[in-house]
Amino acid sequence: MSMLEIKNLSTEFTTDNGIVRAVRDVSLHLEKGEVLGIVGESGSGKSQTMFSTMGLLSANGKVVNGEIWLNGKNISPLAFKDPREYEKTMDSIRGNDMAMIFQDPMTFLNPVLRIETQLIEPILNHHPDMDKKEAIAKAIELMRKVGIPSPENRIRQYPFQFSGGMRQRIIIAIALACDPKVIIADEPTTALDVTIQAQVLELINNLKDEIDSSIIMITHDLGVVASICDRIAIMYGGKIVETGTTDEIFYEPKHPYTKGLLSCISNPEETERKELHPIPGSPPDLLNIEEGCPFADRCENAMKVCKLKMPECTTFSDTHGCSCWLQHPMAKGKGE
Amino acid sequence: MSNPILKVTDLKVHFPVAGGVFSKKQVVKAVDGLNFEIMPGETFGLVGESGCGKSTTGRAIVKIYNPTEGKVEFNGEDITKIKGKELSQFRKNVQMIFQDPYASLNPRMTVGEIIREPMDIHNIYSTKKERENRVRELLEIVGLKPDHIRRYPHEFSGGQRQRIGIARTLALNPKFIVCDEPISALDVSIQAQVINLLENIQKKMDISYLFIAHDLSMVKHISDRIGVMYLGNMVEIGEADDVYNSPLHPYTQALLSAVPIPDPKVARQKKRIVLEGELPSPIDPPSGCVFRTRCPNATERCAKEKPKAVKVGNRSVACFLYE
Repeated sequence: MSMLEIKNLSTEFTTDNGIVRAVRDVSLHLEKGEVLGIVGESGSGKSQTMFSTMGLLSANGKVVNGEIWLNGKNISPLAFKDPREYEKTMDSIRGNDMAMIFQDPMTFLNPVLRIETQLIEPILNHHPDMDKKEAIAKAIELMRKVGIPSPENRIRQYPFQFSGGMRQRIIIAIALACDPKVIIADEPTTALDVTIQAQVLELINNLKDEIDSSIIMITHDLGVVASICDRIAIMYGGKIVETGTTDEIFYEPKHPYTKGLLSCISNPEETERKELHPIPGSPPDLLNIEEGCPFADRCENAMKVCKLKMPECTTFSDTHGCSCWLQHPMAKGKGE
Repeated sequence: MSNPILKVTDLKVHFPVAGGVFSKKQVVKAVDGLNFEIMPGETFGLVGESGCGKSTTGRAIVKIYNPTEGKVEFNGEDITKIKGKELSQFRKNVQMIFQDPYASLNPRMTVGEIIREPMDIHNIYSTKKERENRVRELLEIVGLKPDHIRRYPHEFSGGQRQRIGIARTLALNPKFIVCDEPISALDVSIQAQVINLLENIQKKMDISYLFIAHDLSMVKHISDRIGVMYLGNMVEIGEADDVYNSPLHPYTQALLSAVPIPDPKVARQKKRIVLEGELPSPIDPPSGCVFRTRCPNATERCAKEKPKAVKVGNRSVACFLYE
């Protein structure tokens, strides 16, 4: 059984200009102990998919369709009649079963509280039987686990006394506090410098073997997913266009968008200088978006049908699937 | 060999930080003694982590900041003290592309006005008609439609805005452009569009670039030569391919090994040199070599003396290991 399974999730936002369909019919599953990368550009819906899962949508956002199965329980807001009951359930799930690591280490922590206060809060919340002393001992142990030197002293400090990389470690420690089964990391290294990013990725890689959690990694950086993920889902215009193991996505990409993404990044390991092939145009506006493949406007091989109807998912192996009309038997030979 | 279009000698830019009543006045040594040259038609990449002084260097070159010490020569002329007419002439030749395409365009001006403004200031065309024609031409060069001229910046996406910024930069036919992280605010698929545009413009107009970025793979792609900065100092300069294939300075080695490679098979085998610790403060940089606190090869000598740049082949490295 999957740790987390999302079925046909759709999320909409009501704005002054109309309805923004940020997540459209997304299905995902996360297995035990695996690292799943969700890759997409800004506005592709990757973060909103996870916010929907965690019940952290902003007030104008609403899950309109779909099921979210965690541990055999449907935790989609649609499965609850009473919104208060949903909040109560999510309160017990957040932190305990699912935890989130956010992008910006500078704004996540409360600047006027000591690290100690912020670290023991989730521990005390979820372990009512623990007293403060035990919680602090556990917090120090967590800080050591994420590689913060002399945690006994640093736990009494305030966030401003920590650098960006160290704060991100604190945030990871808070996420790990209650041994969650699923950790969602939303661009955890985007705000960090390359050498600090390497430290944090190394930490996540080591923790992955140590702790018993599955990780969802949201990112736009293909370099990061290549080094850390087992499986990848590519999102575009609110939809998942291709999923596969890391090798399948990088070496046998099927969707024109995935291919485009891979050919417009530069690989510093390659000795000859190849020309970059950018994808023409820009990502779609999700406001009042029409049915049909969201990538059709930028796709070289777009056909009539692409603008009318979203293609079904074609599978190539147990793990590899792609939603593109080019994979339809009637489109054989096109786009090769 | 021709003369360099830009020559930077011992450039230092220090900023005073206001101390309290009782504390000593302190200075941030943002840039602390840089030497490099840029040839005509060349792209020089400047890389380093945030706070290493790369943007300050770019700004000192276009005279947004005045250097504390040292010389910046443009076409053989020292520009650190120029004023009036000479300065105006210099501004015509040296332009800048900014990082944030949302903040660098005035939201109350139309695209036409934004691109025309430099021409108005420098009075390069006599009639309005000529200027307008030039604006349309520029829009076409950067891949926008000439009839976008009456639109406002908010009607464009990030990548398109960056194109507007580039068109404005080109309005005066500059010889040298400082690109300060021109792609880091853009989406991956858009970054390549802008990089290709910059390359095409360079081919057509024979412009030199100083390309400042922290995305090392893109810098390698666009640059002929690269300079690596750490805490206000240049640690290594060399041909882009040489620096990437065989980095000499321990910091360059660590920095390059930290770049995530978008190729899973290579990424799995790659050995990372993970640097211990964090960047020291530029208010109180380490004595001697600034990198010694994180360097795996640091010796006692590194704490006492500051290493001078030495030539290794056609590269220059500031490290005692290569003396």
